[in-house]
Amino acid sequence: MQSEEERIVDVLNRILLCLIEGKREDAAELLGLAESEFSEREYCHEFLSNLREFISQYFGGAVFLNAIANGNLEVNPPDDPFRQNYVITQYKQLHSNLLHLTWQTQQIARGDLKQKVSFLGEFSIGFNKMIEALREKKLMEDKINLQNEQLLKLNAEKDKFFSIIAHDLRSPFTGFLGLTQLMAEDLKAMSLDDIQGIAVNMRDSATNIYRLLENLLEWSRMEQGLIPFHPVEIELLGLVHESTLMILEAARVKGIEIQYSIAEELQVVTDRNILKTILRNLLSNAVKFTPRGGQILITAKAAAGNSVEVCVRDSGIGMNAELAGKLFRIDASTGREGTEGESSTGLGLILCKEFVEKHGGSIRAESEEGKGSSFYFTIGNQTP
Amino acid sequence: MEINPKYNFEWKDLGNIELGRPNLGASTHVAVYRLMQYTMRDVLEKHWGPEKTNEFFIEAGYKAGEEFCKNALDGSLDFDGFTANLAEQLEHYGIGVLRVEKADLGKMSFVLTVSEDLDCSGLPYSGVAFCDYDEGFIAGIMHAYTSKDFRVKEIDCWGTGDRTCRFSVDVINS
Repeated sequence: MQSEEERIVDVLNRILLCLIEGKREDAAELLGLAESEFSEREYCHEFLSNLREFISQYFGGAVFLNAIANGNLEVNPPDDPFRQNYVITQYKQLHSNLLHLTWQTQQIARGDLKQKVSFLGEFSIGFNKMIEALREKKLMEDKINLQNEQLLKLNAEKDKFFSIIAHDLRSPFTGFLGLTQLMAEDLKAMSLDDIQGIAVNMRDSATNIYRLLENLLEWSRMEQGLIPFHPVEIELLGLVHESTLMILEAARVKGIEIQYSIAEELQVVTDRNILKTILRNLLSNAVKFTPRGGQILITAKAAAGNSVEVCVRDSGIGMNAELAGKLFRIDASTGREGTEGESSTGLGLILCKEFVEKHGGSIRAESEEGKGSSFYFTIGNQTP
Repeated sequence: MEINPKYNFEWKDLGNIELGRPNLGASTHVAVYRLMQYTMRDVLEKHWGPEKTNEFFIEAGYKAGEEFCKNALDGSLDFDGFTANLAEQLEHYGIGVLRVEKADLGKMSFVLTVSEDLDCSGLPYSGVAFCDYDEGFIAGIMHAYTSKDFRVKEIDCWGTGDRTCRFSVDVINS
């Protein structure tokens, strides 16, 4: 009961005591009345009426109170919204607090660690410390999970690296050593044409080994953050032309025609060496996977977000959707031989993706088996 | 009677309080808020009767709730996040201390309490629940958040002798 209600009960008690002791005047005064205005009968009638009301409220609330005492929070308070029940008012508050606490506990159990309990002083302090401990544990778990993911990625990269070293680098070396052994053993019996043929093969093997080593080195340096990025304004057409020179001989041997469709004034802002590496890898792949007499087309156009989209399209053997989906993944093996047995590890495309994305662009491939492939990548055309 | 309203409240109508009250700031005494609300109720009841007045308060609260949700709350949060955000903002604006007693997301049925309520906490017992405006306010917030209509009913109120305002909030299934 509130202090006002306690005062009223106290006054009623005192009036009753006065009446028992025969002090009518004092009883009237407690009610603020003159003795002549005071009616014992009326007062007793009212007193009994109030007492009955109180008893009724008490028994009405008893079920509710007993249920709370037994821990049953599903119970509802007596439904009498427009009559004040002095007996249960404070217990309704307790009931409400316990219901909220139950809801908070359920929320915490579901992983909602933002809850903060404010109920029962010491209890709240302890409970909130427990939530804080759970939150810290969760943060720690998230951190460990993230580190695990990073470790898995690093492990996949390491596996890829060793796989390239163990297999892809070994194969061209084996071929190269075989050719040198052939020459060492049979040189005297060979004609000049035989020697020239072997020399051409040796050159091709050495070129492949060199390109692979170049990619490995660049990838390793990039992983260590050692690749410098010096963006400058570059006339795209000139750089594309420069990049095609590196694959011109291989394309000539296979009779592949290379065409550009790039506006002379189109400029990009990027690191020259990085763009050359990307183009070198895409063009080299296009030559590898295009049969004799095929075509390679390089196009570029302005794209959304102050960028330029470059496309390297070939009329080659293409690939199925499964292989296309794995192209840029370090944890998937995508290396396969070119149309004339050229070696390929898949490392070049991973390198391209890393380079393009690290500089805010994106790369994607569209391909259909037997109908060629198109590789699109974007690169900025404004100074960062 | 033909009515041609000239005013349609929007959040921006609250004005730039920081600019307008550089010394007094954004807060005022609760008594001032209640002075306006209860004198308004007094006048409206005299002109329109208690039932119509309650409807006015519910409708005004609904509009306020919708605007409050759109402008002061993050409606993109999930229910847990939204509840936390709502409780935080109700406290920030000094409207009350929100607590969830029960939440059945499947049935969209909730029981909420608002303690230290701006409208009624501390009012003398009158046997009457006063928080019609709050009923509308909660319904407006829920509508703006879920795009569904809700029936909000005040179960307990300071005016009826309780020490916290309790509301049942249930979706209206069309």
